[in-house]
Amino acid sequence: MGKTGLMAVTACLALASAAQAAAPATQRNFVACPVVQDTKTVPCWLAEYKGETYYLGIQTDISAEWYPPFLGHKAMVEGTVSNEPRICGGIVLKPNKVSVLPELAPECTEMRPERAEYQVPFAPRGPGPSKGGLAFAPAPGTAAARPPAPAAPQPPFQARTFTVPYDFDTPTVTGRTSRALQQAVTYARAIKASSIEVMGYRGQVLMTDGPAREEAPGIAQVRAQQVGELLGQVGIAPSSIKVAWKDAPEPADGITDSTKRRTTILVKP
Amino acid sequence: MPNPDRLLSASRTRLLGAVALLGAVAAVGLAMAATPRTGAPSPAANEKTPGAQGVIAGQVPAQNAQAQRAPVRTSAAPVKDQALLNALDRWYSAGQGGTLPALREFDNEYGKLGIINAAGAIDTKGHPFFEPLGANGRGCVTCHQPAYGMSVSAESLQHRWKDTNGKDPVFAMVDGANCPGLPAAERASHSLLLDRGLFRVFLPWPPKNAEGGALKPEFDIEVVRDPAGCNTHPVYGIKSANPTISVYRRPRPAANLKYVTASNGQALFIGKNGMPASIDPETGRSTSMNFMADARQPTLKTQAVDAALNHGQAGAIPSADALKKIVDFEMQVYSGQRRDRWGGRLVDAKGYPHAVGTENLRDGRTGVLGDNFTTPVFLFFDEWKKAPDAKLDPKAAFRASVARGADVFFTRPFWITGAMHINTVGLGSPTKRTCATCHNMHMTAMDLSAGWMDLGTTNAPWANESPELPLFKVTCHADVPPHPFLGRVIYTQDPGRALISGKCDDVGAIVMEQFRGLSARAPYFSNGSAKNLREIVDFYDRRFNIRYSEQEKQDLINFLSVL
Ligand code: HEC
Ligand code: HEC
Repeated sequence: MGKTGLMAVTACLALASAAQAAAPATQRNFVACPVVQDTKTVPCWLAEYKGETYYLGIQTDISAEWYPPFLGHKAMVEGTVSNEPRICGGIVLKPNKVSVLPELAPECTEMRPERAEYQVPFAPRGPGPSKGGLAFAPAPGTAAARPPAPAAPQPPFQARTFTVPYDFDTPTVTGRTSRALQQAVTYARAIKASSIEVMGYRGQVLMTDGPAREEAPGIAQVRAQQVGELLGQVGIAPSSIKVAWKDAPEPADGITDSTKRRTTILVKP
Repeated sequence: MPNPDRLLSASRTRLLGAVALLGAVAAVGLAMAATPRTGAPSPAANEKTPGAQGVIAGQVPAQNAQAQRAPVRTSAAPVKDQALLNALDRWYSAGQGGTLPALREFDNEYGKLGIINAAGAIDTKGHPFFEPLGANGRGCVTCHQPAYGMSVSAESLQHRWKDTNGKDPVFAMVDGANCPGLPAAERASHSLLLDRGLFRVFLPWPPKNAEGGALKPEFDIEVVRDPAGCNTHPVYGIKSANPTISVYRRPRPAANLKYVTASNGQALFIGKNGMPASIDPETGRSTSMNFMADARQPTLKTQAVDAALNHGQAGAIPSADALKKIVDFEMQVYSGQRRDRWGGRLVDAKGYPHAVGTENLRDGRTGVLGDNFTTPVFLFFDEWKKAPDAKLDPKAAFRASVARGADVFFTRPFWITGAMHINTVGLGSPTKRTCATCHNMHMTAMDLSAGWMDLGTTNAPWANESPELPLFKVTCHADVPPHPFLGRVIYTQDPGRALISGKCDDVGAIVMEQFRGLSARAPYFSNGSAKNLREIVDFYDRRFNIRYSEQEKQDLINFLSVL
């Protein structure tokens, strides 16, 4: 699997830059209504594509890497077919990136009642309070919960880039993605940065049944401007912030497309 | 009188910088983009954020200009035997003098509320929380009464109306009437206050940034229904020379504030939506963003200035010394239910249950996440779980019911759906969780994060029908994403946080109140839409289709009543 996977990637990269045919065979990139499959504990999130059911993830909490989407919206699924046993009846896509598409889709309402055969014993957190810490965070009060503060950067200072990722077609920073801004500002203050360069990008996704689906035109500009404004609003001197954007969509390969929807913040000493 | 223009002119110089930046941005953008696009301007084209400078929040000068126009009645000639009346009654009038003891109890329907002054008895004579703030004779205490959990109940206001023929300063026209222009002597002019316990909160539109400049909102707002006539009023309304929106809100408890104001001070951005955190103008540290229905005031100090100038129609900002005394008082006063209806203490000699009662509130830890089994929001009630024969021992049966109610609150899952700023923070919508998911702060059941969420109390389609309240139509601009659950057109009785942030996805998001002293201060929710504890539970049952059994409902009510 590993090796062929890699070859597929390479092949695909070539294809993508040439004709943008379609995503590699192991990839499922599609737009669909998400579906809630209840279980005795926390729900599974599924999506159907071409008559097959795919498992996306389970509900945990805000400490998770993977966040569930919303009913009432379609989701952009970008996932890799794994050979793990099915969960909640779905083929496991791992890893996968699920984006809530911004416009409302009132037709996406499906919730399936729990079934004895669908169980999620691996859930780190049930539908109620946690056992102590959050699902993927060390328990409060333990040594691991309080990692030592990172050492202050020492001269000679390096230029560093901080990246704000986005869901497909989402123009704005969220609570979670604002962490990149917090880090950028902290670093900029620590090294008394001379300039900060913000660059916004627009992505596209190579769909499984092709062709590529591009993010909304103008989104790179909105992303870059919002990040520039946020930096100014929290006290970075506006004169030191340069904001730019690239409106042409980034090249797509069907595998790493989700990482191309981004704004970069280059902090220079 | 403060000169609103002078308040406003605090610092405009930074605006020049804004223009310069926008110019630079556009220039660089055009140079870099392969094909420059027109349209799609930044949705958040605001150089500054809401907040305060010095002790004055950005919206306050505009509000104060409105407050100064509202008539001030000079009728506050004390009712005969005022002192006697006050002694019998439990009402504290501003300026009456006397002592608020270190511990005082007040009866209510469910037992007794306790008020504790951790710093010891307070001599109210000359104390700025208890003295009139300005011309209309109100003090802070007028609306934040010890007997009513440092808030005020609708029932107490009805009594006060009768006892004083409507002349008590609490009924001042500025915000104790549905609109200042109405005839002062008529009960109907004060119906929202008397029937629902609601004061008029008047805010400038568009919203203001920290320096008093206009913010660019993401939506347009229209008045669809205006029963009190204040939003369409030529002087007080949205089309007046000082465009103002009036909403109607409950006073929130001015007690237990060490919990409400707790913040680590570090976060630059709000964990819920990535927007800049509100900043304490004195220390530069981020604040809790957890008080007032819309978190418009960063600190208790800026809040007190707002209250004095607007509720109090004060002619000047309170002195630094007065502000300090107010904040010091607020930070040491605790309010919580203390006795059950049989007269006994709710907690035993060892302080069990350890989150109940006023003393435990005084001694509790702040800033602690309670949605876990290590430090549950209200800790443990297991010793109360023994269910006796209710006929033989009604008190023990009540306690068993409270303990079951605590479990319903803490562990009974249901589908939380379409609630902005909770389903959107990584849980997905719907999420199968409990009351404590939203109400997660140890000891108060507020949200440990910035507190505003759209539960549906003020927005269609979930808000209770309230023809007596204004209704607004919000239309989100095409260049911002639609509200994830309500789309681009939203009908609301109170846009909540959106009146401060101007953000489409903040419409109807209301900061949650602390759960303490509930028994003393009905009605509930910011718009007073739940008359009693049962109506709170019924709202949730309907909103989230929970299907509680009658037993579960009663257990929850009993649980809420002992907090
Ligand atoms: C006319 C009645 C009235 C007066 C007088 C008044 N308040 Fe309030 N207070 C309110 C209302 C109404 C709110 C809620 C406003 C909102 O949510 O927008 C409130 C909210 C508060 C809060 C926020 C509590 C929380 O947890 O959200 C504090 C603190 C407070 N007031 C303190 C004061 C102080 C200090 C004074 C005197 C300087 C004062 N108030 C005078 C009506 C009043
Ligand atoms: C989706 C998040 C959410 C959930 C779940 C939730 N609440 Fe709330 N709660 C809120 C918000 C937001 C407010 C403030 C709303 C307002 O004032 O309009 C609130 C207010 C309250 C208040 C304060 C009333 C007052 O005026 O002081 C009580 C009591 C309450 N909720 C009880 C409950 C109970 C019981 C449950 C479980 C059945 C529950 N809540 C579940 C968000 C939630």
